[in-house]
Amino acid sequence: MSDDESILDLCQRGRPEGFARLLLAYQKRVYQRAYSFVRHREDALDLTQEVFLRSIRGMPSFTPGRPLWPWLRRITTNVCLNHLRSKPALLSLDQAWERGEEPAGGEDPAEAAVVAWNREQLQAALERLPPLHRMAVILRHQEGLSYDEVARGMDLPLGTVKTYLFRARQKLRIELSAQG
Amino acid sequence: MAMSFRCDDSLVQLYVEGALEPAERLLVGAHIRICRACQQGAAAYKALLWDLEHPEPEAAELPAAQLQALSDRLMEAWEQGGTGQAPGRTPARAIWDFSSLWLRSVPVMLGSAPARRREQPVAKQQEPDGWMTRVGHGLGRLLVKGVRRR
Repeated sequence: MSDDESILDLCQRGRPEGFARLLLAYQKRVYQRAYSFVRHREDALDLTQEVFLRSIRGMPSFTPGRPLWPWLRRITTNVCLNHLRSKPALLSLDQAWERGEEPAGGEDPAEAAVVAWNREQLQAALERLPPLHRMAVILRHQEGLSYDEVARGMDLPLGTVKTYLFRARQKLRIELSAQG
Repeated sequence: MAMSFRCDDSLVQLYVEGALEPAERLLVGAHIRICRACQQGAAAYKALLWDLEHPEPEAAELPAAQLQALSDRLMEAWEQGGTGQAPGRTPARAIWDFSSLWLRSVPVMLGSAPARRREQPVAKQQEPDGWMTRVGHGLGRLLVKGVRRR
């Protein structure tokens, strides 16, 4: 029996050690994913709590044999999307980008020289992306989801996700090249 | 070098991602080989995707004490059957949690649903909610909507 199956089996039998093992295995990962989406420690902590509260409610109907992380990741994405959408100010940058009002720095990508950047600069550049663009980048490049899966996970049309990804990567490249 | 009409940054991104059809890949690859700007672009995107796909694990570390406190709160929530409350919850959230708690307890009291803390076969616990729970959840949503309107 795999770790996930064993955790699920214990949880579904109402055993607290099962839930303790679930937290041990996934709490940090859920927090890191939530943080990568919202970029705010306290919010990420609250959202992590919400993810696991939902997992408790969903656990009885979870099908044994399936891996737990894709399920937890889906809950994390939904909880973070709800959080972002509940605060219109957070999405104002996404909306500005959708209207074509990008912030300064939109130089011709062909002019951006190839340079080395450090991890801190990459994190800072990610932080400056509009939240939904950042979420698409993380689901695609850190979770390894396909374009279709990202679109389904974010409940957005495929074309919108492609546009988000193209513009976000271009922006990252330009910003990082300019800093290096 | 300024972009000519043949240069297309989105195609360069897709080339680096390996997301082009074979014929497109050949064409874009041929262009990149002769275009310095697109070569630079491809190299930068390759580095960018590598860094994105290999983040440093400690990038979003949280102090162990905070994680432990969160674990403790969640274990308490587990003991209560998943009705733990997030900090800073809204009135709507409080009503929802209360209604969920009450509705969860009614079927248990009537013996029509298994209690979480009781040892039960897995199949038994996977039964869908009873009609009382469904009606109750509907009432809970109405209450939440009412609070939101105010």
